[in-house]
Amino acid sequence: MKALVIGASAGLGRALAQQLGASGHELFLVASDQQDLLPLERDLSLRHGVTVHSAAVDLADLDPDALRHQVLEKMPDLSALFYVAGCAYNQDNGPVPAGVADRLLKVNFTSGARIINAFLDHLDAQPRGLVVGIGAVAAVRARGDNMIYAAAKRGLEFYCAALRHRYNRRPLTVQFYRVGYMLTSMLGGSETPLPAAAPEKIAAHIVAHLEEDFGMRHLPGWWFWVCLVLKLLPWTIFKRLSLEAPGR
Amino acid sequence: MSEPSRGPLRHFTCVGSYERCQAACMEPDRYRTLLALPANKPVIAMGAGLSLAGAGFSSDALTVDMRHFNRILDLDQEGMTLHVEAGATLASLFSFLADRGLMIAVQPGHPGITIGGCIAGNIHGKNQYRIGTFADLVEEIQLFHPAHGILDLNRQRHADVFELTVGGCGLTGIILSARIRLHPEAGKSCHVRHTPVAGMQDAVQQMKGQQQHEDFMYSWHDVTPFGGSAGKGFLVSGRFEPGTHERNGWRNHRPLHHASPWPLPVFNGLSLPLINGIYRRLKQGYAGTEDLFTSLFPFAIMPSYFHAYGPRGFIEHQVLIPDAHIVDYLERFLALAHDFRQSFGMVSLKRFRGERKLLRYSGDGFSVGLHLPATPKAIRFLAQLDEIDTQFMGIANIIKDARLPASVVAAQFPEYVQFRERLATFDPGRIFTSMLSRRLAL
Repeated sequence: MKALVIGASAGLGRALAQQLGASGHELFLVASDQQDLLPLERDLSLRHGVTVHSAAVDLADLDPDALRHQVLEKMPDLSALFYVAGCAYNQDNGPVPAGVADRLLKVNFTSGARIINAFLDHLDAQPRGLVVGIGAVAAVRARGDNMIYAAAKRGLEFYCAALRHRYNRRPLTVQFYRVGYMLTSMLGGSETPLPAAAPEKIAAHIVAHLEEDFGMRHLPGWWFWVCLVLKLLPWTIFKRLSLEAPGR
Repeated sequence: MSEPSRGPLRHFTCVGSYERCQAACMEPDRYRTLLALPANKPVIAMGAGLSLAGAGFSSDALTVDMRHFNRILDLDQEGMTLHVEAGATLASLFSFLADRGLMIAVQPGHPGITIGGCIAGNIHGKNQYRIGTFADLVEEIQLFHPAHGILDLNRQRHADVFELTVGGCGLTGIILSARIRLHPEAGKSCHVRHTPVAGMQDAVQQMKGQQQHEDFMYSWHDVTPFGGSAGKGFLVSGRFEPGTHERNGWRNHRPLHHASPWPLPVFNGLSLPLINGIYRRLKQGYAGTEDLFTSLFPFAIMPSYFHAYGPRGFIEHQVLIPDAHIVDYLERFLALAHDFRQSFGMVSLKRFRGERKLLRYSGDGFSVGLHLPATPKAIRFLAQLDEIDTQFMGIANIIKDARLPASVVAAQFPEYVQFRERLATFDPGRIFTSMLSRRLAL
């Protein structure tokens, strides 16, 4: 497999790049800072002997066609795209500065949709194309915390679900994961009301199930039941709940 | 927007639990976060947090956890050097290098220690006499200090800061990466022999005669009534051998908890003499072949040894005594231990060779290593031992002894004042600070 990982330099994206590299897949890594990409590129190629390319791209200032050109020039037979990028804002519980709102929407949703869109015809033409989107359990039911973040992640989830419907008779597989709390810098070391998972474990699950056409999954799996309860809770109870980690 | 901020307070403890505090902590995973540290606020870097003293935290400083900076940047197989980020652990490098017939020759007792920790602590292995300390392997360091930016250090460029950084307990800045000299892999396995010795002085004589011929050598002693007044024990010697590369130790090694999860101390004044006596009888005369990882990292597969001291923890004391004084020193040490009826979890000797410099634990002589349950009696015993150490021209290992006072270090290290002054010249604001640096008035 030849894979493009968007948001590869830290957290789940980096763990995913490491596990894909360890499995021998050729990689194209995209993140905002070359200073973080180059060490990862060197590490993966030295440890696993795989070919790794990288490009620094600001997802809030994106030219999807330029990225497509850049990636396909290095990796003409790209077959998988992982959109892992995400960002949160710890005061996303009311009015936020316009620039912040714009960035939250772009990084968590619109840039993802635009990048997937730019590669869609190429991936559809592959014998076994794959699109993997990473969402968040925060998007399961609208709440007063992480409002723009959750709305944007919900947008990405909706777009991936639409893609799966559109391409269900084609060889292109679309997977989407709703991921729970993870021990990454987005959590900022905060205590969480429910256990946080190591990104390496989440990445290992994703890499182990690349062949499957399941639609949407929760990671870790027990979040399915938590999300189900959250969805079914009557409004009078739900409005009193706070499941967010402080500081997120 | 998604940058990690100073997180909530975290509880830190050194291995041994003697120094502990709550401190703010950040765990950056991007360079831009790390390089944005302010130049006017106290800070200290932490690798694996496996230091035996409070070298990676202080209640008034921000601890920067470097675990995410663990990537291999370059391997020059012909020149036999490895360029690696400071947060990479020895365990993660062991397998990578072994596959290429290479190794890092100086290895401490636990594989969870990071490259940055090895440099800042100038750690030693089980054959310092032949191989040297970690300082001898370091060719270049990339150091970040918020007031100076990123500095590339080696023995020619910023040589003064390079010297201060190696064995400098992280007080010059944050080690980002280093180029380390490698050695050809010494073997795929190790033949280990335990040779009984009548006492510590006997071990000294035997080590003087045999050290040159062994790939590693140290001794273990039973300094309890069961071990007699001389400290019966055995020499542990190992020779690396070719053969099949078994990696059972690498596969089975387990992380070390900083604080013991055991509710009660299994190692205490009553149990230790019995445990030492049984251990000596079981282990003396042992000979067998171990995989390379197990022989290099004996503590890796038995973290329970550290936990057995219980929540109160233990103190490690290491002192390097010159060859000329070691026999007389051991006589005084054994007499003091007898007078105090002091119990030890471990008493060990290693032979050293090298140059004394700044606050590094290096020089010619014998290293005497002790593990003691952290009891008030043990603290009194060590206070008296400090005086004997100083009297016999010894230097204590500052990175290992969590209760060592500044006055003892000042008396033992001729370059103590010089280290402080050179550090203050490089960093007048002295923003890098830890419990260790405060205790030692550095």
